[in-house]
Amino acid sequence: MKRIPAILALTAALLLAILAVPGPLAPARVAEAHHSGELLCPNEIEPIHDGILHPGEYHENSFDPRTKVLVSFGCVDDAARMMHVALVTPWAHWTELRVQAAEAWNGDMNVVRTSKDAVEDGFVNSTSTRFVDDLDLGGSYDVYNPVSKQVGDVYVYEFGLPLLSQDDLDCQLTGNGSFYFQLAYVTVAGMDGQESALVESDPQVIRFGHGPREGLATSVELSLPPGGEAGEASEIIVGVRDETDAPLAARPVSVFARTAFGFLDLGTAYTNEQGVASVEYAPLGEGEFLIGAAFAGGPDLLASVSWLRLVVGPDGASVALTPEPRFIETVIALVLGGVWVTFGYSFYIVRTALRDPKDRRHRDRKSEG
Amino acid sequence: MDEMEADPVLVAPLRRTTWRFYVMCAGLLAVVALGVYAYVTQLSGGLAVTGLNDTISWGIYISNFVFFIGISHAGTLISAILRVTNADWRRPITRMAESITVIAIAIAAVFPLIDLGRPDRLLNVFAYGRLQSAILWDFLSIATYLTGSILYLSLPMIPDAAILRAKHSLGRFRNFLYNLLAKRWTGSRRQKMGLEKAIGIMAIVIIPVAVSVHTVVSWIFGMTLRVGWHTAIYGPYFVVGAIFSGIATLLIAMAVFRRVYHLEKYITVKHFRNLGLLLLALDIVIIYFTLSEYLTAAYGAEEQDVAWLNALWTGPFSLLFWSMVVGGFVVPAFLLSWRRTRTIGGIVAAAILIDVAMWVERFLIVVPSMATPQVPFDWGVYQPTWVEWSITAASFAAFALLYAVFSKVFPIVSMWEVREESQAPAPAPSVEGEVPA
Repeated sequence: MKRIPAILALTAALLLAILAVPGPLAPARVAEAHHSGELLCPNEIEPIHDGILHPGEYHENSFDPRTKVLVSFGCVDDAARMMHVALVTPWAHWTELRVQAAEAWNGDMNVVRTSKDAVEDGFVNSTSTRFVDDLDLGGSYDVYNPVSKQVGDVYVYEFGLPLLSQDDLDCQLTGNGSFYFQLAYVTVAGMDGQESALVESDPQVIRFGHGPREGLATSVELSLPPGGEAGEASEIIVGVRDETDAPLAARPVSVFARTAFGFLDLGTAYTNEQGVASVEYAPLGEGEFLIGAAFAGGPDLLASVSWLRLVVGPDGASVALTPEPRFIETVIALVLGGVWVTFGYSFYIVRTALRDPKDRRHRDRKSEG
Repeated sequence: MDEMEADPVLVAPLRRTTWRFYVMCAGLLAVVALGVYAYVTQLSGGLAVTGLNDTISWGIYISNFVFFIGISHAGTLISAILRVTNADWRRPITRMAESITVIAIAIAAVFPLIDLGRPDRLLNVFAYGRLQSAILWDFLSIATYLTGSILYLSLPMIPDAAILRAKHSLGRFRNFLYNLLAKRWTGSRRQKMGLEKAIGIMAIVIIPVAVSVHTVVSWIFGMTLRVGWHTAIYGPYFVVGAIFSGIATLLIAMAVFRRVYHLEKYITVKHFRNLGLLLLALDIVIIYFTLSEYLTAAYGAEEQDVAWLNALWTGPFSLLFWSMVVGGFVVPAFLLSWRRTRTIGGIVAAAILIDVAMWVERFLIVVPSMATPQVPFDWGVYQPTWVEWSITAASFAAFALLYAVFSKVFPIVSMWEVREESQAPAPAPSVEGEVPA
């Protein structure tokens, strides 16, 4: 007992010594680029085309509110001036990226169109907006390492597009821009099989080769309630965080639902201090609705989008738990009960043996002896 | 020897304590205090002071939880299975094994609380718990296992407590404990029969309980629809892995106590070799399970599986993964296979490598699966902070401290069981011809 103060003193001394040594600190997270104003295609390490957008892989992105496509850019200043592109799109058919083709704007655009099954290289020009495949005109296929991936109802495409191509039918851009680009959703319409652009973004501009500025990637988390009845309002909850997982307060989030006639904007809400916003939606009929939520980015913040399916009607309202909960409860109660009863029985045996009056006499005799 | 006579070699650690022991305890206490300081930091600052995030919400806390639950299987296997199969050579090491079990479960049970961030939310388990949830099964099975293990450890301590109570004065605290356990023990035939019967029942019932505990821990992962987790192999994989790491921990403890408390007479080369061979067999099974698990995932080549396997094999976790496989599974297999290296030193070296590898394995089960994105633009990043490392260090220090203190309160080798073995009609000689007294 006399040594206890000494042990405590030694413990305190050792603790102080340990605390005095600087602890291992987590490395600072890598900052990412964004800016206000026109888009940049920063020089950076070549992104990996694997259908997964890693934080920091692309330093520039943009969410187009019309097509609902999130597009990310990263450029490599090599001989082909490769522009790496990632598209996150809800469209099952063709999603197109159109990029200004000639250094001086003349209306010609190089086009990469992607779907789950194919990637095509072509162009549209100022006289005709009809897509023409480069290969049909003797050109070359000039899309670098295209990768596609489907996740639920959303598609992710990654590919490279040379801004200085050896094919005259593709981009011939030697300067740093700004250049026009455009996103579009294209499908086959009409009896004649003519293609038609159903949704096109406004033309946007991008500049090549500017270094990244400080900025953070963001993520949108979408929560949908269990399916309710048709006509019944459902609360859609959206959380927005930056890449350090800090909630982003007072940020606008737009929420939209896909219907048979295109996307229906459900409104824009601002996040609270916890980075959470909510929007109500009352589908008129039963069925499955693709719901999207997007944060369009801002100064020092990249854009992000999230998609989930809302099920309305009897299938969505009932969540079947298998196996039957009562069965599980009964099995657990029986098994656990059996084990605990066995514990108790063992304890009882020893307790009975220790309290046996014959043994008490035996002990007394021993102590007398 | 009189039945109530204590073996002086086994009682010596209880009677004499050197200054080195106090220094060690002070060092361990300091690390525990650092962990408490880190936890207070976490309580006041929230989980934001850790590297945990929305994507990777189970980091090294849950890795530690699975690891400590794993090594708690040492007691079950060595004591219960060997007792049920009448393997007499087990006797000197049963108490070491059983005490590892109790201490390891007690420490493991703390980690889910730490991982919760707000410990008051544990009450939600009682208020809103659903029996369909594997997490609630885990809670129930761990509580059952801890209770059973305490009972299973305590029962064989009764005769030793009676000897110490009768023949030695070891201070008020220890006498209180001995009285609590063995006040009415006389050593009569009737009492011995009752005790043996109770221990026998507990030995049988504790085996399925222990197996269920680690199976249920594995189900927390296996019943989640997540890449790398949702596999039927996890139940047996976890149970074998738990016994594997449990035996490795026991071997390390045996080597330490043998050397520090001069127990060479009781813990012989035979014990190391027998356990070493058991460890080798389990090592081969673990290699087989590991190969089977990863080969199955790789052969299917689902996109998420490929991303997960790339992260493990060539990505950010590759150094840990290959260190685990080569350093923790393959090298120990060679150390345990060759007669030249199957010495106490070689076996203990293999056990240390295995324990480190099994901790890494738990980490690689938890973190890479959570880091692999469920949606294609949300790859998780996890870097434990000093808070998590400090709490982890504190848990290992607390384990060593409690174990050391236990060895100062009760003989770390069961006196009465060893005596019974020596009084048996035909005692099995040890490999070197050393027969425990």
